[in-house]
Amino acid sequence: MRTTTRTCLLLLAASAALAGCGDPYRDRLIENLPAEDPAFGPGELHRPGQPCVACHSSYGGAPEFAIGGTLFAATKVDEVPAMLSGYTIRVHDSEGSARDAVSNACGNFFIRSDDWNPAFPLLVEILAGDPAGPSALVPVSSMGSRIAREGSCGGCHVGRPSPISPGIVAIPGTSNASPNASVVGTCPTPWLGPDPHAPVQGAK
Amino acid sequence: MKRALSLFVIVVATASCLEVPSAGVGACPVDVTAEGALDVTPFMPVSSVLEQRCGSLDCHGSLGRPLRIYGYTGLRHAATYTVDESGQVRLSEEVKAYVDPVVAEANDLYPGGGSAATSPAEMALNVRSICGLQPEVMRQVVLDGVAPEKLLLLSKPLHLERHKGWKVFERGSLDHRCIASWLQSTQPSGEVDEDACKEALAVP
Repeated sequence: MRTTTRTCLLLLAASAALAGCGDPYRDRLIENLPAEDPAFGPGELHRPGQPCVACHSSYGGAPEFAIGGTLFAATKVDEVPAMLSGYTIRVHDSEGSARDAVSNACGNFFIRSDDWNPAFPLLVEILAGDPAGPSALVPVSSMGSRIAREGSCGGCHVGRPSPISPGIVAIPGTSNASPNASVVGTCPTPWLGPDPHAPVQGAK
Repeated sequence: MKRALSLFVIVVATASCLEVPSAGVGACPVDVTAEGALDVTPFMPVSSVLEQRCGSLDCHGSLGRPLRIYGYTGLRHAATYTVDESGQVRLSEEVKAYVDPVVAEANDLYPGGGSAATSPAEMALNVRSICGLQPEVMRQVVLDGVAPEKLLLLSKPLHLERHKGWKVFERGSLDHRCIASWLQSTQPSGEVDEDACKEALAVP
């Protein structure tokens, strides 16, 4: 009896200690994301625009990504942007290694951690097929700053441009009518940030 | 008479030793909470290096960081924008002076990072953030010539102690020389190594 009580107490203490090992920042980040679209479910087309690595990490439990994000068409502020397929996202790490990912039908792209463990900081450029020679790629955009540690493009690229974000990753010169833009209904509704009309963090 | 003169000399010498430099002298203002404009001219090349190396949105370009770095490819200060009645984020009149005129004319909506140069007001905030981080140590470095590597500002990126962003630059590198020279610019014959700062920026 005495041994049983002691075992129970030890188990209780162990459970309490394990419960305290969570990351409240990540937990809140994940909880605040919109629910899975039941019409699509988990898969390579799901949750466009959301910060992929929040869940696709050792903490989140989904297959781990080194890098993940979504490409959008450049639209006016009052339009929901379409997602763009077929662009190559080239990521360079600080040891001279590079990997390509191609945006899928819902604009999503990712590189699995099993395939590449890049040394941060990273530089990113986006390329498109060259109309003159389809096997060649031409640069269409590049990031002006380094990625220091965040594997989710949607960790910084949130909503419309603001003082705390450069906005979603939108390809200059594109629109919802571009040939490789997603058609409404074929992809989940993209996540464009917590609330585009909420007061901007840090605003006076 | 001779004794009185000696005493007078000693008193004057002692008084000059105890003189406290006024706010705004040297690399850091002695009182970082002091009101008033700060001359950021000597800091400008150093700010560019800090913005590029430390100020990405996923690191110190964040409102949640004790060391907060504003910059044109990262976090922008509230003074750079206004939010209109419909919730649109627009550039403030003050900052339009720093924006590419073509961008400003085409669209006065907030254009995101990389479009408007870092303003002197943002650089002043960078100075206050840096100087307010470890005011006692900073005072020793700026006024007493203590090694600048004693500051977290350098010991962290040099990885002399734990840094989540790992090693950002090597000891003796252009970045190190640029920042250290600014910190030591109050010492006799000290001056900001602008060449090191410019050359450091050439490395992405």
